[in-house]
Amino acid sequence: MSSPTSLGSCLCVRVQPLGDADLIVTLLSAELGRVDAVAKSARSSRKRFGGSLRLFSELDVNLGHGRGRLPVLATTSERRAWLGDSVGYDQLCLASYAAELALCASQPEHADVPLYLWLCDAWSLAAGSVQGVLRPLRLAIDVTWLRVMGLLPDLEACVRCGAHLDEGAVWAHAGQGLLCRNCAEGSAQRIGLDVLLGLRALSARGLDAEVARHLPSAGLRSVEERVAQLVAQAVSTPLRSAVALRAALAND
Amino acid sequence: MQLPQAIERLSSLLARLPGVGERSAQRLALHILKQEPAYAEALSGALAGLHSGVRFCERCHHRATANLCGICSNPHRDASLLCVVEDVPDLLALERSGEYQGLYHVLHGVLSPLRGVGPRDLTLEALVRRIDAEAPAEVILATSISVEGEATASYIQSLLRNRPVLLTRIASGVPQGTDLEYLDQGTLGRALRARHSLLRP
Ligand SMILES: [Zn+2]
Ligand SMILES: [Zn+2]
Repeated sequence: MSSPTSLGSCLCVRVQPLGDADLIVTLLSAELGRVDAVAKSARSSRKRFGGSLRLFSELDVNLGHGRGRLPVLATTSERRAWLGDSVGYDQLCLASYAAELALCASQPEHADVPLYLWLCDAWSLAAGSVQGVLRPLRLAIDVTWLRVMGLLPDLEACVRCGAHLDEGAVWAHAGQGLLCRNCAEGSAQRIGLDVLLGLRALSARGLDAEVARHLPSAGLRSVEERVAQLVAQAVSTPLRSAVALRAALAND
Repeated sequence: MQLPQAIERLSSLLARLPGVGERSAQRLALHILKQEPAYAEALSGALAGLHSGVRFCERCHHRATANLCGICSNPHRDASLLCVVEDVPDLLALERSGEYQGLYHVLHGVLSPLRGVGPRDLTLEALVRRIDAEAPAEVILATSISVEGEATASYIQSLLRNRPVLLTRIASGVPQGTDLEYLDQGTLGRALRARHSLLRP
C-alpha cells in the first residue's frame, strides 16, 4: 500500500453517517478546496480518529487510498476546535450557517485561502456570540462573505452620481449599490451613519469580531434585508441552516 | 438489465437501506432467492406488518406495540430518573449496559441546522410537558458528545431553567483501555475538565 498523502490543514465542515460504521466528512482544505472523504469505522471504533472529527474544527489530515469513489482518511489530528463543550444552539446555528456559505462558495481542487480564513473567523465569531447579538453577527457574516465572493457593493460612493456616501444613504432597489441622500427617492429606509461606518470597517478589515459585535443593533433591518437578498441570489439553493438561524433570530 | 426484473426491483429497494450499496443489495437479493420460498414469504410478511404493528410510546416516544412501551409499563423501573436520548439505538445501548433502571425520553434526533433539524422536529415540547406532569427527581441528558449533541443538551437546559429538577449530563472523557498518550486533545481536555475528586482535605 502506498503512503498517505498530506492534505495539510483542513476545516471540518460537515460530518454525515455512512452505513453502520463509517462517516463521510466534508473538509475545506486550504490547499485543495472542498474534499469529501470517508472515515472508515469512525462510528464503531475510536481507535483511529478518536474524537478528532469534530464539526467546526481545524484538522491536520492525511489521505489514504480507497477503492471506492471517495478518498479515505488515513489519519487526522485536531489543531483547534471553535465550539467547545458548552456550545449553545445560537452558536451552532451561526457556525452551521457559515459552514454552509463556505460550502456554497468552495470548489473541489480549487484552493481558496481567503475563504478558508474567513470560515476560521466566522467560527471564532460564532463561538463568541452571546444572547442578543445574533442579528449583527449574522449581518457581519453575510457582508464579509459577499466581500470574499467579490459581490459586496461599493460602500463609499453613490452608485448613481458617484458622490461620497454619508448620513442618509439608502440601498438601491435592485440591490447592487447604495444611493446618496440626493439620489435616494421615496420612502426607502435610510442607513444610519454608524451602520454605514460599521459595514465599511467590515469591508476593509474582514470579519473582525470587535467591529461585528459593535454594529448597532438598531437600524439594521433595511440593510439586513438587502444583504440577505444578495446572499440568496449568490447561493444557488436555499441554505438549511438559514431556516434555523431565522427561527433563532426571531427568539433573540 | 442482466437480471430478471423481480431481482432488480428487490435490489433497488434494498440499496436504499443504510450501509447497503448496489452490489451488496444484489448479493442480498440473490441470497434470499437461494433460500426456501418460505423465508421470502416470512420476510415480506414481517415487512408488511411493520408499520401497523409498531407505534410510538405516548409517554417516552420509544417504539412500542401498545400505547406504552415495555419500559414505561414496567412497574419495577425507577420513575424518579428520566434519561433523555437522541434515538432508539442509544436507548438500547444504555439498556445493554445494565446500569440504568430509570425511564427514558427519546428525542428522535439531535438539533442540526446543517441537516435542517430544528427544535420543533424533536420531541422537546413533549419532554417539557412530561417533566412538569411527572416531576422526576433527576433528568439525565445522554445526547452524544458532539457539537450537535452538546448544543441539544444546552438547549434542553435552557428549556428547563426555573424548573425544580436536578439536571445532569453524562460524563465524557477517557475511554476504557486508552493510553493518554494517544488521546486527541479535545477528548483529553474534556476529561480533565470533568475530573472528579477522590479525597478532600
Ligand atoms: Zn447620488
Ligand atoms: Zn415508553
